[in-house]
Amino acid sequence: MVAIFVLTLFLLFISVDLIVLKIQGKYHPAFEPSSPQFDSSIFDRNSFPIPSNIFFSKGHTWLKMNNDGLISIGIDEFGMMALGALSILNCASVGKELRRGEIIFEGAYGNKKVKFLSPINGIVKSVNENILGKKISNPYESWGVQLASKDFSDNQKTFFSGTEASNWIKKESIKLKDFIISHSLKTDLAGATMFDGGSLSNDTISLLVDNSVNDFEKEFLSL
Amino acid sequence: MKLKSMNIKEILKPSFWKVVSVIIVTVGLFSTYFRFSLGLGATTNLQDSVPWGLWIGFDFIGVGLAAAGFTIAATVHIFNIHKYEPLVRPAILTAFLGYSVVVCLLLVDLGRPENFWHPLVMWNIHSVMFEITWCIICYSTVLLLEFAPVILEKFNLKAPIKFLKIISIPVVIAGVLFSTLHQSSFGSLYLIVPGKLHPLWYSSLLPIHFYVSCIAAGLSMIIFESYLIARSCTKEDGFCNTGLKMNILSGAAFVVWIALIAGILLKIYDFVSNDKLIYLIIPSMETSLFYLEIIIGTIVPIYLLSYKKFREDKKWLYIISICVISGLILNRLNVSITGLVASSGINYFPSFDEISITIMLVVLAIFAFRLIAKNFSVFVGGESEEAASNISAKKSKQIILSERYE
Repeated sequence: MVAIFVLTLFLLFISVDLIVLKIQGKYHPAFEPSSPQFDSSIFDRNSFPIPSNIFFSKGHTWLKMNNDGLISIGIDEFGMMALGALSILNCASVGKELRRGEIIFEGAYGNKKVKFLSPINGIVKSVNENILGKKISNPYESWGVQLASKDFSDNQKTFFSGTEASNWIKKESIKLKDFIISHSLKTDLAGATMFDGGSLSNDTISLLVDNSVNDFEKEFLSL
Repeated sequence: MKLKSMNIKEILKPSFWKVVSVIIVTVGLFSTYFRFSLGLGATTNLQDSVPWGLWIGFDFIGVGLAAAGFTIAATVHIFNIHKYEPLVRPAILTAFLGYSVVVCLLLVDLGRPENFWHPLVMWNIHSVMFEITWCIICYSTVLLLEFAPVILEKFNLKAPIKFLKIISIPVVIAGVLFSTLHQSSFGSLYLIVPGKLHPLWYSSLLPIHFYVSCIAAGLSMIIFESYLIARSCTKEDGFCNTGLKMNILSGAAFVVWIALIAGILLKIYDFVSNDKLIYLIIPSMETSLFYLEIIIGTIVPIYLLSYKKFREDKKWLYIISICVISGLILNRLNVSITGLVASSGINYFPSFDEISITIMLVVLAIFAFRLIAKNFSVFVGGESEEAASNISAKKSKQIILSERYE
């Protein structure tokens, strides 16, 4: 019976640990969503807060259906901080008929420009000029463009929401680590330090090679 | 020297496991006090007919799980398979802490602990216990020498590191010899009780079985620990920070698979050649525990490890490592307690003090492992151990960079 007692105690400790982690809303390393190459996130935080009523497109814009039927669109937190601090320079102008995949926002990382694409077809009804050229602290409160769109529900299955969105952003942040290492001016230094996690600097882009923004658009902002 | 990670505020911040650990250690310290003030008779359920109980069982478990120390060191430094180099330091640390727990338990278990030094000067070369004592002392010293560079690196003491590197190969070879000797001699210890140990476990091959099973369990322990340390780093870092990649863990799991197959073949040969198959169909508690040991610790892991998709899957690798460790726990306790208690005619179950002291020492070992792993370059991600100090320097720089970014 001693053997059974000790084994039960061993398994009990492991089970309690899993329960404690579940209560804390964390993953045990063995059970967290896996990624093919690296399992740690680049950012200090393990999770990004995802508002429940928001959808995410693969091009790192978020969408929200308003009560008046208009779709508010903004840039998600990942897009805002991926290569340092993003400032939005331009939005699609009011009255413009946007096709899915056309430029909806133009931003800047340092002195490099980057384009975000419209996730749906629609007509631009209003533009939030308050976000232009400013540092955005809460990306999900600060919409950039409101569209009148008829095909939101048709495209809904291509968007992420809830846990699916959370897991997708986590995978994107892991992919970003790979991206930064491969585009770093000092690959060895980036490779060694990236494994330890940490936060991105505001001028990450300055530490990357020249064509990094173009490659970033291809890898992260295409739909 | 100020250690960056040893932030007092962080250490004092309460968490579930910290509170549980403090309770366990406090209770354990009281039990230790009672053990030394009142004696073995008053605080344990050990008797003349059952002189070895939970503590001896745990000694076997601790030594068995520490076996990765010599396995990995030999693989990397003697057989030159450098793929497994990132496992060397955690394996040696595990072995050292495992042996430290064993030494502490032996001191608690000795009726006259103040006489612990007697085997060093009063040689009884015909005793298995004499060999075990000497091997444990010598191997603990070897482990200390093997792990010393990790500590010295932190304080940038280059001269002693250089000296330790010069003597490293003879030290590793000595470590392999000592651990091979006493891992198997734990099995030899039970060869002297053929009439008392249950036939399901008694075998003339017991030393070989102990040796083979400790290789599988020791490597599984390293896999389990890599998750343990990743779990403790999850908050600020992530699994990758341990420097242990899944391909390395999967490689170690493959060796576990080979060792488990060797172990079961050995067992089958033993049962067939010694006509012991009859004992497998006699209904008894011993038979049930034997089946449990074989199914959990051998059959299930062999089946799962035979599939590459399970070997390379984080979740399954964790489950498999738990199974193999459970198998070793059952085996060593079955040999040291279950298999002997039946013949003694006494139903032994450890006392509260025995249990609390044991758990306290395990908790302290886990705490020490976590503390050392977090503050020294134990998990090195580089291709060579020599690069560890450079990585350590880069890590220091990264901490400063992170502060600036924050």
